[in-house]
Amino acid sequence: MDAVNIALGVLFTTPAIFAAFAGVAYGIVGGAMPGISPSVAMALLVPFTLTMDPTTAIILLASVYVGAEYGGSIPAILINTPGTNAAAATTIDGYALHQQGRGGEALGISLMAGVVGGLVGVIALVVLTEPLAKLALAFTPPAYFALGILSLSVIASLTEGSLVKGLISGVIGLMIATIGSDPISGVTRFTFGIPEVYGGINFILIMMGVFAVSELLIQVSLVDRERAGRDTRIKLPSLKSWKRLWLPVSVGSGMGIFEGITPGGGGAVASFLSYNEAKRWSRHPEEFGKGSIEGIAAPEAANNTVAGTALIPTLSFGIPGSNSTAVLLGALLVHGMQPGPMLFTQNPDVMYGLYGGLFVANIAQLAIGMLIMTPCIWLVNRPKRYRLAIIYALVFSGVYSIDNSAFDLIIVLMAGVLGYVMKLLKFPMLPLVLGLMLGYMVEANFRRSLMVSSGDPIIFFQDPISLGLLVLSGLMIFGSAIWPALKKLYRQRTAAS
Amino acid sequence: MTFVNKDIAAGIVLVILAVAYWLGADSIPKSLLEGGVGAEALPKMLGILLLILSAVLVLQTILARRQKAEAAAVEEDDADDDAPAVSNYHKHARALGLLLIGIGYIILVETVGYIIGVAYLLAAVTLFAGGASRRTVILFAVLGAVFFWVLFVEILGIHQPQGFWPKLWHQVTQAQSISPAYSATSATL
Repeated sequence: MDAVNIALGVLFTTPAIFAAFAGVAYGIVGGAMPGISPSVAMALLVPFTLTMDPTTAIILLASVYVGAEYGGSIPAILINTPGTNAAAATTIDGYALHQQGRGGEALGISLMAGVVGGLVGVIALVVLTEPLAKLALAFTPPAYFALGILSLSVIASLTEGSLVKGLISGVIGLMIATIGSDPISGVTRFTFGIPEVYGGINFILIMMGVFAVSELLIQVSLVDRERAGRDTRIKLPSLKSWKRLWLPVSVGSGMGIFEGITPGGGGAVASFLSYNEAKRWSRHPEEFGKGSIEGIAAPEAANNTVAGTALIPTLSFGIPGSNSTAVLLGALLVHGMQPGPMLFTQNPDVMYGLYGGLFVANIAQLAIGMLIMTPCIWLVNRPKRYRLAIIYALVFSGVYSIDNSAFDLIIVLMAGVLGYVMKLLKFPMLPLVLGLMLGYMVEANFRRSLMVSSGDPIIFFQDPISLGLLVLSGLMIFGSAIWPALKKLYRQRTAAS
Repeated sequence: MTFVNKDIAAGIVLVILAVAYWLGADSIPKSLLEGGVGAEALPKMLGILLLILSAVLVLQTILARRQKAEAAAVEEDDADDDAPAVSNYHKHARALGLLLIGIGYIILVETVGYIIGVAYLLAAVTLFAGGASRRTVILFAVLGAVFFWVLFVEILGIHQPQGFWPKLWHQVTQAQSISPAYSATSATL
């Protein structure tokens, strides 16, 4: 009951409720624009949230995530181009329905399934986060070090692409984190005499560079996409349609809970898995791919559920499973909050306010989603040149506002080039950002532990939690390394038989 | 250059980076406060780890190249990357152009101030991306710059570079306050 009172108090005494509305509206528009993923939309906002109170800032960013997951389905349905990766599964039946002249109905199903999925995600977040966070109470410095290593191993192993590249990306992130004063003795490292980096490199700059600037560098050479065409009015599903929709929405929400909690899963995996499951469970599987309303409801419920449940590992242990939650974790750290049980004791207003804000954001999505459709389609239809110019200006305006330093703009451009090269070479970016964010925690706890044991590394294997987490890290990396070989062997055997 | 060659090149660059980073870590000065484990401990470990991982990447890629079937599949993947039908050289040149526009903004903005800097950025990016008439670009840049200035500086109160304008304004107002006194003195004389 206290939690409800705190949440209501936050919502009615701070600008948090406006942040929830504004965040959803901005997120829908951002998600609807091809090339702007939820993480880019969120990263662009982070610098402007630094002057806000932490509760409003976190609610604003989380609401952007909620809005962007729905926004991604608008171009997926209208122009067969998903605005976000998670909306890719929606293109299959959404675009088919639009071609049949039922685009408004497809958008309505996407919106309603998203709202229901989003609310399920918030409930799972409320129920699961605090108990999981309490586990972290037993953590000692060796255990925190091991948790940092586990986070990096999990993300490097589970993100798309090569394991070695994921690990290299994580190591580079940790290396960037070593620039500046060291966490124990204050010795400056790798600063090359540049005073601006004595205090380290702010990870927000790297996030803005690798997520936003690198995307601009890629987008500038891409051909402008098809236009969304004329205005389409949303038509919400009727009660009769709901009789067919409740099952795929339930399947999508269930899948979203599971995938959101699993680091590396994310909205895209959840939406494709739920699409397949919904087809398997459907009474009309033959309609899938030709304009099935169930084929829209399942993935949209799934990716909106993930917008809530992906916050569970982020808030409990500081393990962000996706780029978007990494941005949110970055915002938490910048506002001086550490994920884990202390969040609930030291910042209950932020945590319970976030729950309340996400609840409001999901409900508000219904109204905003309908009201914003016309301006949203207008914005999506603007030529790419204007979009690129505005995002570039937003990046520079936001970055300068962090420390009033032109040097930060140079760092952002350098990080943009790094992100561009990494994308070309197919190196995942999430481990890099995570390495950078966790660098301080990993090194400080590594050295504190070794100070206690007088330099003997056995301390990491004496602490049972640390031992367990390190063994799990080893298993994750080993498992990911041998998994492709096992798959190949299985394929060869089945082919031979 | 095929995708496989790119990976080998990246691996070699990373090996060089790992060695340079380790040498940098080795030259970190000792501190009396460090208590057993120095500031160079983790960086040295990271340098070694990067060296091993980069070597594994190079070896893995060389082995993969030997398997012709896999190499063919990778090339197909690579072809997909170029789906927008623009050559790699053209892609990098466009990215470099956009980057140079950004560098131009960084050089300009502290001198000419935020509003002119943003107008330049909006105009330069729109012209560079192509397809817009000059008149539209000018209108977009001016209106856009005013919008950004009003939103960030006036409404949100976010500090942005002011350029030489405050200094110029100060000199103009000083000159104005001196000139009536000067004329009054000349008149008495």
